[in-house]
Amino acid sequence: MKATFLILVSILFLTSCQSFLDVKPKESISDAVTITDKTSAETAVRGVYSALASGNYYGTNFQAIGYLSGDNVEWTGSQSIVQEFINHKVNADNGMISGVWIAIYQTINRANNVLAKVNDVADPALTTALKNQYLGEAYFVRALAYFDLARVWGGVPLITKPTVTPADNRGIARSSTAETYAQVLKDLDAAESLLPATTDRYRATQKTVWALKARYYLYQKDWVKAEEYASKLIGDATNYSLIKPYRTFFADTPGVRRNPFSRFSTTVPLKSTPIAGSGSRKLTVVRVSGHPIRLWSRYSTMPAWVETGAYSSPKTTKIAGTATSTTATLAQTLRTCFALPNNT
Amino acid sequence: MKNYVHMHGNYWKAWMLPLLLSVSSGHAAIPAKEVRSYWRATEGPIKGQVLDETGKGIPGVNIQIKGTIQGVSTNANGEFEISQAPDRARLVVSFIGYKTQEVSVGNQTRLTIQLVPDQNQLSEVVVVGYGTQERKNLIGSITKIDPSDTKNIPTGSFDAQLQGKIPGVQISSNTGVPGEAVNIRVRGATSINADNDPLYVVDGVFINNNSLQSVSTGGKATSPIADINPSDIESIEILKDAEATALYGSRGANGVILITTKRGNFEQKPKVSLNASTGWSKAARLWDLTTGPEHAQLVNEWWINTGKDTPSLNRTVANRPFRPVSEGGRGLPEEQQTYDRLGELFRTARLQNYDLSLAGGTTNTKYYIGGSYTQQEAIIKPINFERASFKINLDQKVNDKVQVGVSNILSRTFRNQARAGDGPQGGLLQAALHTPTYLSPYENGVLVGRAGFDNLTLLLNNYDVHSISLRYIGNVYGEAEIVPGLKFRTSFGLDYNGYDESEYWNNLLIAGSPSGLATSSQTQFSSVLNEQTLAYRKTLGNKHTFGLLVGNTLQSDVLKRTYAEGRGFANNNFTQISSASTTAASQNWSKSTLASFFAKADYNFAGRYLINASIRADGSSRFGNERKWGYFPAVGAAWRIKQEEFLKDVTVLSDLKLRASYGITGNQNGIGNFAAQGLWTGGASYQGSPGIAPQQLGNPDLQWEKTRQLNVGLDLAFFNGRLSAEFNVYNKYTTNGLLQLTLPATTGFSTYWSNAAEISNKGFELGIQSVNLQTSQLKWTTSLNLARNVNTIEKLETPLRYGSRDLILQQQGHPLYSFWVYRQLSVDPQTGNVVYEDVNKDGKITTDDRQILGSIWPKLFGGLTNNLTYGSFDLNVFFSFSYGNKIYNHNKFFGEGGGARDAARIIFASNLARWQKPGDITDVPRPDGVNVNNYRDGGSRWLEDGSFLRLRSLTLGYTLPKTWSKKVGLDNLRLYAVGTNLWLLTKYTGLDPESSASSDQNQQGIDLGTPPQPVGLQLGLNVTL
Repeated sequence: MKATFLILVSILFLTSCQSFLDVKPKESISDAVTITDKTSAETAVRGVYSALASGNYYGTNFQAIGYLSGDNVEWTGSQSIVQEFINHKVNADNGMISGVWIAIYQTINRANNVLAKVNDVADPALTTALKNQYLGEAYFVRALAYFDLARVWGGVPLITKPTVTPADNRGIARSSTAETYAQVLKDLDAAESLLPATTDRYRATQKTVWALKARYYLYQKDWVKAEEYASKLIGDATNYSLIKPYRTFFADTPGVRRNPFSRFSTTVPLKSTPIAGSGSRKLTVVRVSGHPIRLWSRYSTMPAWVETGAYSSPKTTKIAGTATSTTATLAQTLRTCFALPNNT
Repeated sequence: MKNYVHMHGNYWKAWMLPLLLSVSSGHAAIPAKEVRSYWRATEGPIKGQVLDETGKGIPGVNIQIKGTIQGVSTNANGEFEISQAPDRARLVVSFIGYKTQEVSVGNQTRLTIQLVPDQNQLSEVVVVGYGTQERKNLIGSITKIDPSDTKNIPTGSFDAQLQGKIPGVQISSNTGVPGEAVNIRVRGATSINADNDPLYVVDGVFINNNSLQSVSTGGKATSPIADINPSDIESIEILKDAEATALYGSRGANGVILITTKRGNFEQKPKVSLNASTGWSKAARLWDLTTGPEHAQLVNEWWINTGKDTPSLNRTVANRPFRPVSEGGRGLPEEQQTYDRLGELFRTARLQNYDLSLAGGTTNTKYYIGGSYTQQEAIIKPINFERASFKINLDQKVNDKVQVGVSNILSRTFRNQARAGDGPQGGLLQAALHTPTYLSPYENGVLVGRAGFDNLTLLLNNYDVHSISLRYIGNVYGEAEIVPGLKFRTSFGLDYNGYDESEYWNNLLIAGSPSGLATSSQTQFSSVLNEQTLAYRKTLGNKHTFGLLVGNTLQSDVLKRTYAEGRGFANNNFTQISSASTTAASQNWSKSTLASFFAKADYNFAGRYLINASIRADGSSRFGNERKWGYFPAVGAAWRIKQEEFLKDVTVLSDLKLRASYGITGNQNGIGNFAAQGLWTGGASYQGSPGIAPQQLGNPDLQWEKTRQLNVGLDLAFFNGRLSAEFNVYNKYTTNGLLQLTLPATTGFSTYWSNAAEISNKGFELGIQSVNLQTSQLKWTTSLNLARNVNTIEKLETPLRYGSRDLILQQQGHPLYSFWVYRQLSVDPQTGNVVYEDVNKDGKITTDDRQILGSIWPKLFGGLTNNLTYGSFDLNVFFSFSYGNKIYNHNKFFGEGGGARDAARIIFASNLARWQKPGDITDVPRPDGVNVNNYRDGGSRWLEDGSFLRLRSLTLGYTLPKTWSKKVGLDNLRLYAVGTNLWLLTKYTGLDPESSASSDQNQQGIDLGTPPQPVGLQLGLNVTL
């Protein structure tokens, strides 16, 4: 009896409940210890780029909401969420719109984390040059994000501090369009001063900042400055030239540098490219010579020629044919921003 | 009242006599030796009286001479007379509420027989939290189920079999695929983002009931409960109110299902039981579809109508799709063929089941060994469910005071799976409900491709998705009586589930385009449980009994998953990931722990007044540091009014008990293991290099969801328990509801876990049981249960939308799972367009005009069981019903596409009732564009009444007379036939009013791509030796 009680007592009390109940995840880390040394700073900056590439942002949907409105796109699925773009009658509660909005602010929050924390890292391996590069990249991505927000929504709430608790960044009012663009320029200026003037196909450099500045000034109708910054890139002929033919811009053909779509998202085959959403809202764009671009969803049908090999020699001609289509401008933005190389 | 009983006694006899005579030839032919030996040498009359326990005569008692059909019943004074009785006759004396006695007449001519009350029902032992109790002493609301009635219903899992059996417990099968997750709600639903499933406890082990499935089967999930062989279960207790569930504290808010598996008995001869059955099942009804010509006609109409609406489309009669081939069309409508794909998909499915067990015991040991194999094909190819299981329960007395034992369930469940739900790729019903006019599977003898959805023939020939669940549920315990009345018990339990899934989609299938896709997912779940209890029970004098219980449990759950996929195979002969050109893999790990302490005290005064109080403290690793512990108290009291002096003499009333309980229970299931913590993920890679990023916001204040519940119950029994009823009313109110609260997206996060919702459930439950007839030959019993639950979201800041196309809205003031639709008022006879209700009167139909029109909650639901045994025959007829619930017929939404979805979907025949010309009165509008008003997502036209009355099962059995079975060396032999879902009464125009495409709790009641529950027939035999 005594022994039994001893067993009971030991089981009850020797197990320290506090440590028993303290379980830490292995797939994730606590947000209390994030950007603390060179490695974590470096990976956090990659995290910012990864947000830029997410499915709801440059991965697919942000572009899709632009070109779905084009007159060369047909939607035969049953979900009204896509049809709203085709009909030029987008409801406020459209899920793709909110998805893009969320993804852009997620990108901004990641950039804000880098901007808030990298300066305080005491790791000697994180040199000032590296710190400047990381901060500059974060400023650039935040500038691009606010630039995109301003172009789609006009003025938006300007969030420049990271969200760490549910109470943070609440109740921030919408800024005017001018204020939003001012934030873009401020971030671009900061990025320009921090980034090196190197050439990088995957990450922002001073040259990338120039490309976006050229675009920014076009939107501000400041033709002089737009020309000034565009000329800086056009003049760099060793690194940048126009790709020909135009369609290779979208292709993922061996021998041709990947297009910016695939740079941000995953590698996609030419003949059927998932362009929007995931899971139940997946869209597929099919581009075949002689046919208009068509979008396919789970409830629409691919005609026989798509599936039976009639596409064996696809000739993509264009993805957006009209001046009003924002896809074209987006493509140009990206080409300019990311300074696509020539085919060699 | 006495007269009443008496009259009925005679009435029954008179009524049944012809029946008795007509079927009695078998029994007349039992001149077996042992019976003959009792026969008297001289025959003559016997007189006698039957008395109750107080010495009063009982009228209407049935007296029968054993081995014959001869019988009489007693008069008002309990007296009887048998004019001719053989020598050494034995009389069988039976009366409801009393134990049946056999009396040897011998040489007597006058007998006095005193019957002993059969307290069977009241003294029935009911398993409660951490112990057992006699039914008469119950305070809480607990339903005990003997699963033997339902275990042959071919659903795979025992919980699906219980539909309609338990008052207040709503069980919806969702699909006709065996072994799939069911929707089970004990007294409504208490949460939006945390689980609403009850806690399952098997022999003291808290088992996992969340599917480990990771492959997509169109929103469906497998049921981990299907790993348990229903035949191994001895009894199922469902704990419903706070008093009953409080000892499970944090887990009890959604009810508790206690499963006790079969064990042997001490001093029992080895008993071998065999149950074997085989059967068939098929769909009772399928959709009514258009033929090819009808389809083509509607498509042409749609074409022309859209052309009229939007001239820029250039759609005219001249270029309609179904115009002569010579004009470049697909041929005239009447030239079209009709391909029947449903016939290719649906089949008559085979079922088989074998259970073999051995039970027995010696003075100090008792054992139960069981093995079983079951196979159930689904009614659609290629889905198949197989389970092989093995069971050993062993108990050993070490000495007078100490006993140890083990319980073990080991099972292997194999499933051929397929997407029988939502989704484009590999969706079976989507592929089968394809355009009827084209895409024959073959063109010039060669299989051709698919359009939108997979080609059904290719899909069926190449489906390769399967899973193997290896499950162990076991428990080892030791218990010791330290001093008389004081028992200590300790136990260790383990629930282990290895779940192995693999898929191969070859390049003929959409999911496998262009060169094959293989996936493999290995999931391991283990739950380790340690538990100690110390119980003390003491009776003082003969009136005071009290008990005390203290205990603790420690539980640790770990979930691990390794996933790999490969794309790009050389050809379809290579199916393993190692042969793929590109591969990807991932690994997941997650853990939660729970520490609990509990105590309970009960007091019973003279079997008349019962009170108890309990408290449980639970600490969960899932909550914020300062919020880990939750405290869950409960109190209950019962008054057995029948035991009071003033009711002693009211003999018609055999029991009357009033019960009341109040308590608080908790819920934490279904939220992430790390929901309270702020986290960064390492998965934000860029250009192939690792990246980190914020993943979720922490909420250090995250805490237990709590449900307080008041229950008042009344137990009544009449005529010695011949008619009994249990009535409960309850009021449940959930606060601190776990909810993923929406954040302004500008914060960079969209939600965080919070305690923000409040939900109430109020309702009543009624269970009635009666023995309608009882003679020694015939017994007819009926049990009826019905219940109503009113569910309301009491607090929810922002309405939440769920389901495909936001068909479900959770909104404050409305029930959970409410359908959010556009109300169709009519089809304008002039234009053929649908007129929707313009709720906000702005002249436009927008999302603001959607409204809640009903929910999945029935107004009343329950079941009715009739059991009839007559001699060697037994008949069980079981109906379940649900009244007042709604279901969204999403299949019909797609099937009434009005021609717009020509390329991908068949059109239902109901679309033929469309408006065609001015003056037509119909509710089906003219065919026109997709998602414009007429065929809008969420139109109320497809929201239907899901009420039903279903003949869930009908079992007819025949037990061979013992003398016959003895001859072949068997103790018992019973042959039976079970019919399942033989009859269905419903207004629902889909296949099955219980269908639900998703197993997501917030997306119930949307019927899409789901096979119906089949009609089944099984033939089987039970043998014991």
